[in-house]
Amino acid sequence: MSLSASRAILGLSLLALFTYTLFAGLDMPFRASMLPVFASSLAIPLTLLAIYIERKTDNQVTTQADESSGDLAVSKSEISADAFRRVRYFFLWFACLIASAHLIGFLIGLPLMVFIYLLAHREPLTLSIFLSSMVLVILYGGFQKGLVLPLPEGVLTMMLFGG
Amino acid sequence: MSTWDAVWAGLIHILEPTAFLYMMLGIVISSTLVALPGIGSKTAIALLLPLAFTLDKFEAICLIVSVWAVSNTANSITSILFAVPGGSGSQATILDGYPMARNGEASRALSAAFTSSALGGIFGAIVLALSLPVLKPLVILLGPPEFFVLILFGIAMVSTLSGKNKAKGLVIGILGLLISSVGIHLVSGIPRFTFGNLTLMDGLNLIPVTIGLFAIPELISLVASGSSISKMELNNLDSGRRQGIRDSLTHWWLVIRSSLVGVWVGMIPGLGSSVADWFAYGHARATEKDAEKTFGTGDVRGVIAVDSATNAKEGGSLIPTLAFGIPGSSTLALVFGGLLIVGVKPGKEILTTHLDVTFSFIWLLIIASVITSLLCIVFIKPLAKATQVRPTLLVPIICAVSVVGAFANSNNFGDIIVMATFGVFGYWLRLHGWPRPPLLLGLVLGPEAERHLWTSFQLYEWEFVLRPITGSLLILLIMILGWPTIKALFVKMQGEKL
Repeated sequence: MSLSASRAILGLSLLALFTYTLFAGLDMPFRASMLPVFASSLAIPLTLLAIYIERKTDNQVTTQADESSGDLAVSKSEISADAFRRVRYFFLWFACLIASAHLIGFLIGLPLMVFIYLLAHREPLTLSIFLSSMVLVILYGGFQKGLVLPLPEGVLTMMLFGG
Repeated sequence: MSTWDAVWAGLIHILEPTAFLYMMLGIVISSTLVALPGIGSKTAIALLLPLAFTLDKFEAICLIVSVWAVSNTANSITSILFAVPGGSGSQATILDGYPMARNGEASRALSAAFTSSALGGIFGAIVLALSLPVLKPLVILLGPPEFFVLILFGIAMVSTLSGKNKAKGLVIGILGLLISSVGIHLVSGIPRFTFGNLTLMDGLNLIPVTIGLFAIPELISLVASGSSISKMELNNLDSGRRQGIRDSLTHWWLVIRSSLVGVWVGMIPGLGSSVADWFAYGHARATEKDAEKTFGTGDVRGVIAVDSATNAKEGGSLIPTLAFGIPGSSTLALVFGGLLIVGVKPGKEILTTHLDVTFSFIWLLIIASVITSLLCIVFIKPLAKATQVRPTLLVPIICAVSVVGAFANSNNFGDIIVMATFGVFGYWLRLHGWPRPPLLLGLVLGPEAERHLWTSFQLYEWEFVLRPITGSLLILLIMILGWPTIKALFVKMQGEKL
């Protein structure tokens, strides 16, 4: 998908969202609807204005945000084809990270995925093992024992080995 | 509780051993994370929020406030050594800091920056303390209609500084308000925008949204850029530290003036450090002797002015935050959210019955600023080395911690999905220049806005907008938002006349 198509979809999605919240708000009792209706009715014309200004003034992604917004501007290196390829791989890995936490548990899944990421990026094996172990130490020592946070076992491990 | 009792109690609270330990932890984590490539103060706070909500009130305050209060100090390292701003507040430091480093005075520039930063922090805290007697009666004077408009004012001010297309900031701020309304409405019991989903019934938790919105897009950005910030050698870090400290003390009058600029900028919601540093630099350049000849070529006064202003700004930005519940900056909105989680509610209460909490903030600003500057001066070299860590090492570890952080909030796997969704959405927004900070501000202020809107309506119906202060604020808001258009029309009319 091209950047301009992605940009248009974002603007239109926001517009659709505000239209939905406006109509959904109108169906609610008055007290519950006050904020959604108030906010949506302001947001719809403003979104249209934002899309109009975006189309009229600037078609370059890099100039859409600047430092004054408190948000870092997007650099050119981030919108190259190579950068998008890296981001796609990252999304895939991130989805696997969440899935592995769900399927094989936090204590096994997260360090394992960290290890895979490091190896895939050609980090030395010893460093990869060390950093993955550090993640395990943080999760087990810091969260499970230190903060007494019960990190759940995975759905798959529960099925295979019992709870 | 008398004011002096509150001053004393505020100090005692943060000097409790565990609270002090959490302050030190906050300082070390903030200074290290801010020095790492691509990891800003917002990411640092987002990652620490899950830890904060397990702590006692003052321990959490010490952790959260110290992370925020000192984040500007370590920012100067990359600006001075590599001409890469560590954050939006350290851009002007480059102008004289980097030439100084190239002239072999890196250590002098860094220690001058750190010392000025500490002095600025102390100054900002003192101004905040002195402003409390004025703020207390002012806050008591305001009612729900004024607070509702002040909330809108705060969101609009942060939104208007959203690059070229200001409407985008406003839209995202309003989206934040709408997201805050997701879940069962506490008063009427009506589920709003939940689609029958159990995770959404309780509303969207601040922690997974924050981590998703701020930590994940920064990590994606690191992945996309594919390299560490600096590949340069770290030289000249052993000598000149004392000279830098002496420079800051010798130019005490410049420190005070620049700090005043910082406090003034900080008090206006939305302006933030990205403006404070340039204002202070401009002021120093215009008022210091021979500045026009030497500024930009490695004049230590340029570094001193900028760093004292950026840290003094924090004290100033706490004034609207504590008094009116309107965060002065996007980072402060995160701090504000963290404080709400541990039961600290800015506004009338914090300035009257819980004045000791306010003074804890002030003491934290002072003590954390001094300790951070000392630590930075002592550990210049390791902190500078942190800037050269490869993103491939940072990304997977921070991602794993983010996943657990989102889960830790409510032991609910659905929150991880919320974090991932907002992560992707945050990246999408960032890619197309829709600013993320207003969304957080809207989300944090949404429940208060709704409460004040309803109370105002019950008291005055829609006529509440005609009350003197409310009406004036609304007119001011419209003027600020509409000024660029009015100005353009005026210029066009002038052109037609000619």
